[in-house]
Amino acid sequence: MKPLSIFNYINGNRKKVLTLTFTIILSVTTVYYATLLAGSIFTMLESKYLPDQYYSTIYTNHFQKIEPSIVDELSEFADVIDVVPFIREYTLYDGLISAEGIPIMSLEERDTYYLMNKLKLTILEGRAPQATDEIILHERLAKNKGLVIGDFIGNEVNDKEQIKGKNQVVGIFQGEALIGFRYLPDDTEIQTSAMIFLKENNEGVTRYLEELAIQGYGASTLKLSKMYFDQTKSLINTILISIAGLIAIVVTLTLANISYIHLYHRKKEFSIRYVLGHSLFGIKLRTFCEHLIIIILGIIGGFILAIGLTLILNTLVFEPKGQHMIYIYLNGIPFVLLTPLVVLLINSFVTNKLLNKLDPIAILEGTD
Amino acid sequence: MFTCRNLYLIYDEKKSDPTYALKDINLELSGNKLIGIMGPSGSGKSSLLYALASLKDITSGSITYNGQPISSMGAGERALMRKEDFGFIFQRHFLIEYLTVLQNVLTPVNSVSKDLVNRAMELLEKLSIGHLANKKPAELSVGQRQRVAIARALISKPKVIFGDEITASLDHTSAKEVMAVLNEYKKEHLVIIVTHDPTILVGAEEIVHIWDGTISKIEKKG
Repeated sequence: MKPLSIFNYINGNRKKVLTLTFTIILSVTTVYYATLLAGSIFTMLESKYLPDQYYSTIYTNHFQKIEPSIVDELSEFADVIDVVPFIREYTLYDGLISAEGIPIMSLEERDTYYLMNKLKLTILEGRAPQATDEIILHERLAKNKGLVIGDFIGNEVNDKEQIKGKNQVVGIFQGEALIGFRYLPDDTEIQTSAMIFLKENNEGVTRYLEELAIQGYGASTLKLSKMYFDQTKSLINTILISIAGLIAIVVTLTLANISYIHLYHRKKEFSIRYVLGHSLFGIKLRTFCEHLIIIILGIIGGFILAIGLTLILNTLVFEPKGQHMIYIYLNGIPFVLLTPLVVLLINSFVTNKLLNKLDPIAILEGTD
Repeated sequence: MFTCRNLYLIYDEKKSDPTYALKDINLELSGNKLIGIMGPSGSGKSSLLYALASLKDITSGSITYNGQPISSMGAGERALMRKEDFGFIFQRHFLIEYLTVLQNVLTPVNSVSKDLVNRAMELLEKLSIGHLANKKPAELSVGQRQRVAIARALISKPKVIFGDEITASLDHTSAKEVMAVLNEYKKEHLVIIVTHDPTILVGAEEIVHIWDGTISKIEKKG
């Protein structure tokens, strides 16, 4: 190993290097963990809105029936594959940072299977509901509520529950869409909502649904769902940028300060190296490489720590509650790299300035 | 080797009261010998040494090294010259604290080739500190550190050794030992020592006396 190798610098300055590296590790861990949290919330929201990609819905307010003429008109559109009556209720899912209303669809048995098939949901245990007081839940939803097959859910069991009645869990399924299904009898009178399965090119129907919304009907189209999803995503992104920015400012100032002190204390070393015939450019380059290695170590350490922390929390806390944090979130990486890269930039600037102003003789004579 | 012609070094030149560190120096330094530069504190002897070593820019006149004017050299060229041709010993050792003794000795060449490591060890043995090769400077006495600095100055077999008050922080015995090493080195190379202590220049072939920035006398022995 060459005397002025990066390894020798790190090995000979373990305390200083560890201080810098740990600070970077902490910043990377904090920001990456925040981005993982945001990414996990996006994933959960995507799971919630996934079914909306396969159908649009119309619904009446105040439990009125949908006019049969509207169902007929909708059925006549060439873009419409099927109009399926359903009732939508919500149940609260205790998410990573807030509770989310997850849709519980009351559908006829064949429609339940049809939708489950479309959403690529596979039954893990039990079966689809065949009676009005039966329900099938996503495994994460069931875990979140601490329910297993045979348990009951509904406002008759728990008055805080929004699902009506007392429904027995008869099945658990898995898949990307976070949802639940109840049974809607063929002869139901309460056709307050309808699910419209559409072909790909469906602008005409979408326009018709949006017009219905003006006439007192509620309409949920893919466009509206996407808009709502994008708004939520944008809000979370803003919060994330603010957190990352705040951490970046605090950590950058701290690290830049520590770095400057370290560099200042190396003035004698730089001077003697310069006197001994090492060029200023060579000293600057080596110092940059030393910082780069510390930053890379900090980034790698930070990612490992954040992923490790997520793994531990997933295993011990989240998974048993049907929650899940993702491990990789590519969109969050630029936020994570912001602080270390700014610190590297500041270090390079400070090193450059310090070495350009270096008067080795004054330093060696003790007059600087 | 070195030729100084009408050399001036002025500090605070733009101020109303500039300081003349060196005034009209004309000097030739060459051959395999020990040359002492003597004078009281503030006489300009260290300024002359650093100007010769390309570490201080002169105000006017010229210094040539092997016929090439130092002022015409770029920073890279000067650095290379210092690295390949010059060795430095200062009053204070200026070792790099996080490196071991052996690594400090190898700093100028920044290499760990077998030949250089062997040479470094030979130098350390010669200076009676071979057993300290893996110690850090903080674990050594002042005298031991200065010996490490001497080994560092000699590692690249430089053509010129510059020493600035190298024995000032050493006791008499250590100072004699250090000078013995340099007296041996002068047999094949040029050694230039700045000092205000005439006793260490017993073996010097030439002594340049500086007074108030000018050469007051050049003493040649033998």
